[in-house]
Amino acid sequence: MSQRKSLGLVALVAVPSLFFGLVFSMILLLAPAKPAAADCGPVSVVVDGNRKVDGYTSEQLQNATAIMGAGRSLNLSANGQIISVMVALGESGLRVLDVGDGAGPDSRGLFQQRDNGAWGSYADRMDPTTSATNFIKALKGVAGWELLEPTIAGNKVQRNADPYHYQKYWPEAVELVQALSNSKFSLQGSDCAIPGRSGAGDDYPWKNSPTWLQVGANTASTSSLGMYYRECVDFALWRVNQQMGSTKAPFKFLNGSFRPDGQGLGSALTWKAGWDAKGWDSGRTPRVGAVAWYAPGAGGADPSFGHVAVVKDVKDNGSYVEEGYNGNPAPEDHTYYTRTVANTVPSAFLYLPTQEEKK
Amino acid sequence: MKKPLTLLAVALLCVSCAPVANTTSAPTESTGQPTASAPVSLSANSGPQAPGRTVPATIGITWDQASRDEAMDVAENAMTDFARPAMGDMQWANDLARWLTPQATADYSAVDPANIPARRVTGPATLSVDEANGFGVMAAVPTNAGTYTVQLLRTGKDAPWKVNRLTPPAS
Repeated sequence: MSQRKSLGLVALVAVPSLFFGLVFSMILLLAPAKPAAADCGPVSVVVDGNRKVDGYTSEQLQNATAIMGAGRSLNLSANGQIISVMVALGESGLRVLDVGDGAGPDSRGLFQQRDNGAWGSYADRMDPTTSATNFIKALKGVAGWELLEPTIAGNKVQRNADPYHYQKYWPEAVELVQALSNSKFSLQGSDCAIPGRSGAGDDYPWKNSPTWLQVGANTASTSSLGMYYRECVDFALWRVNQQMGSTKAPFKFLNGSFRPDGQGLGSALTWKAGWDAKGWDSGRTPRVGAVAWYAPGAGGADPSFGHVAVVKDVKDNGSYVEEGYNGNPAPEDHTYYTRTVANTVPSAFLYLPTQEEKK
Repeated sequence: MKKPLTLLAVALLCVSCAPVANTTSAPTESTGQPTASAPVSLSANSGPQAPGRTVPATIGITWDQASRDEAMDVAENAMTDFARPAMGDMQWANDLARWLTPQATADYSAVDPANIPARRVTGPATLSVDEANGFGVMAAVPTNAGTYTVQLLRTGKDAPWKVNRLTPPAS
């Protein structure tokens, strides 16, 4: 609805580095604190006049807090709260706008809700808590919303002309909800399925399963992702699933169903073709979470099947840190490894939809 | 009969020829230095990494003039059907779906056409072809509301181009 207008506003808050006030004396809990670890349920919100997040005004933070408070009242998961903040970022830059746009001159408020009866009165649409409550109720009414990509889930409610409009606001929304939450829900690893986040370290679930070299190429050596256990491709596909919010079976992205044309994603050598066939972007610049793709023979990769790894960190000296499986000679083969590599060594970097560059 | 035996022999050879090179893993992040020249062993000599027959590396689709012409036609036709904000949403979605991938059909099903600023296509599509990628291409399609970027995908040389995404101009 207000996709034009909000872009300029959000430019102000791009790439915030987070900074917390350390004064906790004035903390007011909107909801009782929950146990800190592995809590993927509703996040409780800290309303703290001293809490600051770099790059955001206190008005924007109050509005984000109102959205999270509404989510808490409706028992909305952390994932749902991040979706709600993401949509408000994409619609209004977290400001209660008293103005619409070309496509919707009657759009108002944080969520740019139309004056069509579905979103209540003018006062309702201009009230942060009420407008957020109405958005969240509609979100919960979308069948299977938790399994959709966040931007698609948000757009089932908003009906924007571009269903992918909200995608680029996801990282900011994750950081904001994390900063404003007092239950430190885990964004790492497999505890909470928060799209856009990778795992940390050797959290590959099948690190003790047999390789096909040990038990033969059969079901005993095949993971539920459809690759052989402890091969580079099984680890990389695990990371892809994690980053897309899929952290346990049934996984979203499988060897057999990744490509839309019925071909398997296969060994590393065909991963670039798999990305092309799926319409996912690739390029020569490492981004955290992207797949580093080595064509057969490139940079020391197997001359027949190639190699894939995952970008763990990007350095400012033309190199990056990659993590993966089966990157060392025996006896350290088929285990987790990290190493620093020049950006020019892999044949390409294969990006995930969550890694789109912000325009 | 001959072929499987050869393959088996190769597989056995691979299994038995476990890395002999004195490759060592490159130092990790502590050094901060690129170590591209260090010997590495990336999935070396361990055979196929996934079940199923091995797809040849040359599975890619090559470009020709017919591919380009068809991609331009589909991009322009899809954009023409997209840029109709006055259309009822059911008919709009059904008409547009003819040009879309299954993924896009699902993703665009919730769009309210009344929110679309474009009302007409104002010129021919321009393709940005990556010769190494015959599966997909981006087409720039001019409209009264600026130039949209239309992503097209196909599943094979003779499969029709389908639109996966119509991205509005950046503001």
